[in-house]
Amino acid sequence: MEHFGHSRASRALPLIACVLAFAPQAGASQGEAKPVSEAESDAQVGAVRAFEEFGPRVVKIEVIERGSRTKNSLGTGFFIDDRGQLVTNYHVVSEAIRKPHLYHLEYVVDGESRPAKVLAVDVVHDLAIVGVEDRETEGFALTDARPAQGSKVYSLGHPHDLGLTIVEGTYNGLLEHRLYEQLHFSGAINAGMSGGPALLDDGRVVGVNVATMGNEVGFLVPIRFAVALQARLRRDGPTPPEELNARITQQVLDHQREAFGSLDPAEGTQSTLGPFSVPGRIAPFLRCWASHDDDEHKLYTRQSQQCGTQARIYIDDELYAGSITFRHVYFRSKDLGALRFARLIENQFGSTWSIDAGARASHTEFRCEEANVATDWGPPMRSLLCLRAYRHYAGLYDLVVKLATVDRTDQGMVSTMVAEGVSYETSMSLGKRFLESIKWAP
Amino acid sequence: MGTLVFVEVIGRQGHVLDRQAVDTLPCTIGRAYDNRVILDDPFVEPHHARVEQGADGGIVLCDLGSDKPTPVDDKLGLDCMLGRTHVRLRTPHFHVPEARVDPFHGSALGRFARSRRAMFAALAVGMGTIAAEAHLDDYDTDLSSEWSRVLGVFMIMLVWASIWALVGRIRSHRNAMLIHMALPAALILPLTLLGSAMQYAHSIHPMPGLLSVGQLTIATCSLGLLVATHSLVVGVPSGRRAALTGVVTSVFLAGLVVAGQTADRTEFSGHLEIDPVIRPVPPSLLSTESPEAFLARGEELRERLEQDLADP
Repeated sequence: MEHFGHSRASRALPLIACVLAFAPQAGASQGEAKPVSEAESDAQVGAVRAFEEFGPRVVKIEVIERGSRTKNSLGTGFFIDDRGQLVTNYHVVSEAIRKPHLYHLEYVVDGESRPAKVLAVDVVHDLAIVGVEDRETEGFALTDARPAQGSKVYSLGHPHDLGLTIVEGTYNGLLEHRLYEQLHFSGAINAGMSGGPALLDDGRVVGVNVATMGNEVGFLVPIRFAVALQARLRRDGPTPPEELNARITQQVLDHQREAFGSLDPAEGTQSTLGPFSVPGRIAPFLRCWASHDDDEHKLYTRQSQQCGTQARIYIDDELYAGSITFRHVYFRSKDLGALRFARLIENQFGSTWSIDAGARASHTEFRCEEANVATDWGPPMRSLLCLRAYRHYAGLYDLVVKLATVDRTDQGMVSTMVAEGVSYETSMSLGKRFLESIKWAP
Repeated sequence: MGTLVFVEVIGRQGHVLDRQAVDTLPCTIGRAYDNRVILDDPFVEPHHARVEQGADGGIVLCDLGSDKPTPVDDKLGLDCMLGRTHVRLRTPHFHVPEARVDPFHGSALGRFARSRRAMFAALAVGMGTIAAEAHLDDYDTDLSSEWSRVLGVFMIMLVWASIWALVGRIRSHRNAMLIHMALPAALILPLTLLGSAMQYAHSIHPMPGLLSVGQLTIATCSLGLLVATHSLVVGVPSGRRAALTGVVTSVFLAGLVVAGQTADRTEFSGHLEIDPVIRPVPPSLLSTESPEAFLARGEELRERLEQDLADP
């Protein structure tokens, strides 16, 4: 169970932007700061130099509520050229993209706020390029070099609106098992630092601060995605504000087509639960956890396996896309009898774990169909197919498919597949392949 | 000379409080003690009305305040309010219907149905059904959840029966708690069997809409039946009136439930709400669908979602 808790924590990660709203409360921690002597170690010389030299190229980005002209959330951005283009996280600016009539964007430099606007977004990698006028600050040099694991990396940003801060940490390479490439940074990234640069000793940027799991476990977006976004911006020009939503939808669709289009639950690594063969870790980007309960007071044993993507694409605080999860729960009756065992299966079939409640503004309600579906390996399975649509991103759906065996009175299984932010076509092809993937093991 | 007319004073519940057989006319009605029929009602005049022979030989009632006679119909009699008292006049020719037939009269079943033994048996069977139902929903060796469910249902029935017993006591001074407990208990087993039959049918061929409509219908009908039988026990004047009360109450409550569900449906929940029913049914009995046909239903889902999106 510990492990499931762990994976839940990781799902909540990319919420830095929303944490920002509470930034003023963080002021209390200022008092606990301890003074550090200046020449404590050589390592600090690097940090001091980096801060002095590169600090001016980093700015605070604020989402301003139009009526009160007060900030709603904040993040960090950094210049990547001398023509006034800043890189930040998409989640820092998403509110201004989604509700331009309520919010607009500003950046703060030398204590002065100036207008900014979103030029391009890469929602899959949580990046945005923001353009500002009348600013000719030198930009950072970017590098796709992969430093050795353990190299020093300095992350800059505005944690909890406490002013520009530099954090020294360690580069720990590319994260494994990720659908969306991210770098592992061991250092204290905090809310408000989102969108800030992570530099090597020589001042070149390797990544963009994006998320934290706390306890100095931080994540960076590799800078090459920002370079690619910049190249696309040069080629195609800025995305008009009214087309940003459509562009976001398209990016999610393109991404899930690539990621899930070839994903076949019936192929790849299959797991065995009792006599059943079920899709296991069918793609490298899935992480799996398992548990087995055999409580002596209970009249059944319960074995479960869950495989899912570790992270998902942030669209807004209520909307995520691009995750897929499989969960299989296998029951074996010790002394339940047919009637009670059927109800046990029924209970599990009715449980709706792992799919978040949607908000009216972002989702429709789920619509479901239920039937006994024939299988090619034997008896039919009780099947449920549910979809809900995204309101502002036409063509994106959340999919839930549930299957339960109903033929045996001493053992049975309930399998669930949940995919967020997928197209209708992908939903149906995933559903079909999922139906085919559950079998009695040969 | 035989009786010419009966003057009856009717109580609020429709029963006769006082009946006077009048054999000489005229006959006066009022609050004063020199009247033939004395009404103890402060809203009645000392000499309020007079029953007499009309000009055509029929019997009439004269209100002494107005002097305008009202004829007493031989077949229908005459109902009138004197002050706040309901007075009914009937001639000996008034037609009464045949006696109602008691279907259980003299039968052993009828005697058993009215016996204490039957009532205890109904209570035991009902509680046993509740315990069995709780047992099916519980998957460990511990029996505490079964007991708590039985206790819970028993408490609810006790409250329900107490209300009826109280009404009965007020109306007829009868304290019939046991029968009020037995009536709902007797319904539990047949209702459970009926519900199970529907669940098995749903398990064989999923029809979620039909299941909820069926369950609502059963609940409505049984509530109506329950209200009608309780009403008879507490002593409403007729079976017809008891049935009417049952119908009105159950239709009213069913209306509330439907309105509540409709309101619920328009309320956005955001959750995935699944209410599955899976019963042990031999696979050969199941109505099945091919995976292709099942997934083709996705199109319907998509269309419904399009409508949801169009809805503001």
